[in-house]
Amino acid sequence: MSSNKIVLTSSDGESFEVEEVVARKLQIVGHMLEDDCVINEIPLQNVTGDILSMVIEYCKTHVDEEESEEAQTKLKTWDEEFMKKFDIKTLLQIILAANYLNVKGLLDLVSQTIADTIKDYTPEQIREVFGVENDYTEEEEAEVRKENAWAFDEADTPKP
Amino acid sequence: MSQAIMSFDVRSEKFHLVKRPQTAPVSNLASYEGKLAVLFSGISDCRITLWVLEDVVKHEWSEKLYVLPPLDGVNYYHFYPFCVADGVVYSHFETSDVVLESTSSSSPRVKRRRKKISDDRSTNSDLLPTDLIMEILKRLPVETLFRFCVWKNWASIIRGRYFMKMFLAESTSRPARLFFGFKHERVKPL
Repeated sequence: MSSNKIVLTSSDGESFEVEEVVARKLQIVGHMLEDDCVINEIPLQNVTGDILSMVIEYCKTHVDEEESEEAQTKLKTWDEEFMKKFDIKTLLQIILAANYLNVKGLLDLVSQTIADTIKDYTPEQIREVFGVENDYTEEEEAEVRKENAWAFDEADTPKP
Repeated sequence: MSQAIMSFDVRSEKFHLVKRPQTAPVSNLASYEGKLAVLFSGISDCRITLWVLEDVVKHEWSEKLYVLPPLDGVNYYHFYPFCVADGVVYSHFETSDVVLESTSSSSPRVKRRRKKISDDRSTNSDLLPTDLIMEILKRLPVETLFRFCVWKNWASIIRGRYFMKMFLAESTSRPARLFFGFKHERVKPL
């Protein structure tokens, strides 16, 4: 296995030296390397250093994905613990980065984590987190809420 | 009114009368896990009974009772229930929307609302592009999706055909659940 080192640089100028196999987990980097660009330093414009370091941590852990059940369970536990570290705002940053850097496994993991997190949110909490504008008039919103009243029952009492 | 359920054997080309579940009006036939099912919604309460024809030859039905959350001023009798595998409540949502539109075609307000929903398709959260929002939303339970229809831009994603396909693909990988969808038969006052 190649032990070639590659330097990834974030938008705020932080550099990370990683093994080529790890860097290839970022498909955006994989494509660059396949295009025969002989490069050792890759600038990644859309991701900051703190987020990039998380992505790299994920890629390092997932670098050899073994088929064995034991290894899979271990990875799954690691994934869960890893995700617990982040609040919703950070998760949104990570999903953007995973999308941009094209790390499929991480994208799935973060999407699922966000979905699990926001599942019990009230519409107001969603609005705050996602920056969605309330674009219904009061009258229209009342109508939608009435139509879907059964789905609102529990969520209208905000969770502590 | 007298009702009956018939079966037709495609090999012998014979009709048979199927004994129907006791006390159940045969108003809503459905398919449940590949078997014939009859659904009946309570007249004055929020119960839905599902009878499944377990044995076609012996005419044996199993009975399941579901208690649903109460509705605001309407009871479930006014709805047409159907049941299928996971995710199908979704398509009901579209259906009910169409019904809403056709029963109130004299009202320009409803039509305008529909139109605005589709026009808003491109504008979404400032934070995430639409495809990422979809990635997250498709993993949510159906109940939550309904709750998040309170913005036009999210509603437009959730009601869109593309998202529906994504959602169904995702939900088939989850354990199957029984869902009831409803078509409201009462004309909405506006």
